[in-house]
Amino acid sequence: MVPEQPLILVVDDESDSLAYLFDLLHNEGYRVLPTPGSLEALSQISKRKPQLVISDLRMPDLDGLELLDRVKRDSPQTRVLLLTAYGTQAISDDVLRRGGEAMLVKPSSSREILRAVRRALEAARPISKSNPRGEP
Amino acid sequence: LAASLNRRPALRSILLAFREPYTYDLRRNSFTLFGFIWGLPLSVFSIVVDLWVIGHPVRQEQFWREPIHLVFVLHPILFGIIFGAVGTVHAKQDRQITNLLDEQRQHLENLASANNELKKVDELKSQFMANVTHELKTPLVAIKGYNESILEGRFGPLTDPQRHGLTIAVRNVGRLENLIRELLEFERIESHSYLPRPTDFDLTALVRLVLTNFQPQVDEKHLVVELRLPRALDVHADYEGIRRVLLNLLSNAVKFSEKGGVIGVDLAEAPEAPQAEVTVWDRGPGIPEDSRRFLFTRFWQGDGTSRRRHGGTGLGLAIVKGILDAHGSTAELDSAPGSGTRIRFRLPRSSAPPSLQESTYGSGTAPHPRG
Repeated sequence: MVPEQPLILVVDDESDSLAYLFDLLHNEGYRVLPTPGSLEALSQISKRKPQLVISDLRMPDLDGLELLDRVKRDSPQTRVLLLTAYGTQAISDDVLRRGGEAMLVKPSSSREILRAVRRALEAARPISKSNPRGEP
Repeated sequence: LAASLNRRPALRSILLAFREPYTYDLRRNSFTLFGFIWGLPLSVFSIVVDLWVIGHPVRQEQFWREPIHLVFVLHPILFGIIFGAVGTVHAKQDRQITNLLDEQRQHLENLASANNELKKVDELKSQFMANVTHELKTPLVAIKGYNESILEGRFGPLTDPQRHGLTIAVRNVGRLENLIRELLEFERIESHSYLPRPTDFDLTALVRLVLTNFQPQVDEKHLVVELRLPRALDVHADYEGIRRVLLNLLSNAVKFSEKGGVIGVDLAEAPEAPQAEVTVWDRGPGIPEDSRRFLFTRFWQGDGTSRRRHGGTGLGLAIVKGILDAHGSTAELDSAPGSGTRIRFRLPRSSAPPSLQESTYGSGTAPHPRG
């Protein structure tokens, strides 16, 4: 049986950026779940337990860092990548300290995004084995 | 008389004070009261003398026969008037000083409030810049992302004309991205949110790395690059910040050099303190005297007219200045029209032992022609 592709949840309130991330990742063969807002993302994360969340930093409701905290609390095995247009070293350090994988500065090249995704998923693999997905 | 009085302003003001009612006001002008009391003893003394000599106070007919008595009687009044005049002059001066102080205070208050207004406007501007750069970058995500992905063939094969067109589009997205990044960096410096994060790194390696960014322009303009670099020179500074400083300085050197020109980077240990001295130079048109003081000012460009030949935001050197300021360093400029420009700055050496660096210094000094 072919192992299932990892599930990546993408959050961005900018629909075109979201569409691009979806197309890029979907085209690479990942299963991608696009969500247009952080609150919807939270409910999807607790339901679907994705291996990876890619989130914008600046969003209404919950910003990326708050989302990162909630994900790490509710679903610690889920990896989180943050994207931001206004990246500083301080924010990057903050992301790592809170348990995020990395912070990418927008607009990142598709190669950078895919590399970061691969690295995050590789790190996630040993944990995902014991990930109770509720599957038979 | 008028002329001589004009030459003695103190005397003139006292004489003028005799016309002021304030001079004769015993209740308000304490000088008048003081003068009057000061003059009283002489009158009392004359009465005592009269009592002593003639056995009673002087009578009316005697008073007029000896007019000295008039002096004794008027003495306190005269003293009161003269002292009062002095008091009037003093009061006038005090009032003038108070008025001046009030005016001064008012000016200071005006200045302070104007300064506050400016600060508020500056904060708003910084906020505005942050928002604008964010808003400019957001659409770039989709533009750059899709164009690049399509160009990389991720969404299917491309024809040659499609690839050609997309290559140009992607290159121009890169230009736009650089401009936005420059605005963002400048905004970060202006709002004081840029804080250097010093680490120890090899400046020679960084200079070589930064130079590779300019290889296309160096080749295109057939520039000669002369490097005088030690094999290694460790400094303690913010790597990203200094990389940006070198990028901006070299970008100017390349931009303002004519075809076939010479640019260079010299790296040396500063003679006194344990510091590294970096000089980025070109033999371009140089900077006229009157332009030099604005050189590190934001948005300023040597030729700000619409006919100017060189592009750019005018933020490059303001960013350089901001980053170096944050390092406690300054950029020294040495330039004259027609003889090129040298910009020099110093950075602290790392505290690690200098090891081989001193002995190897000079090994990379041969001119290194390129292009």
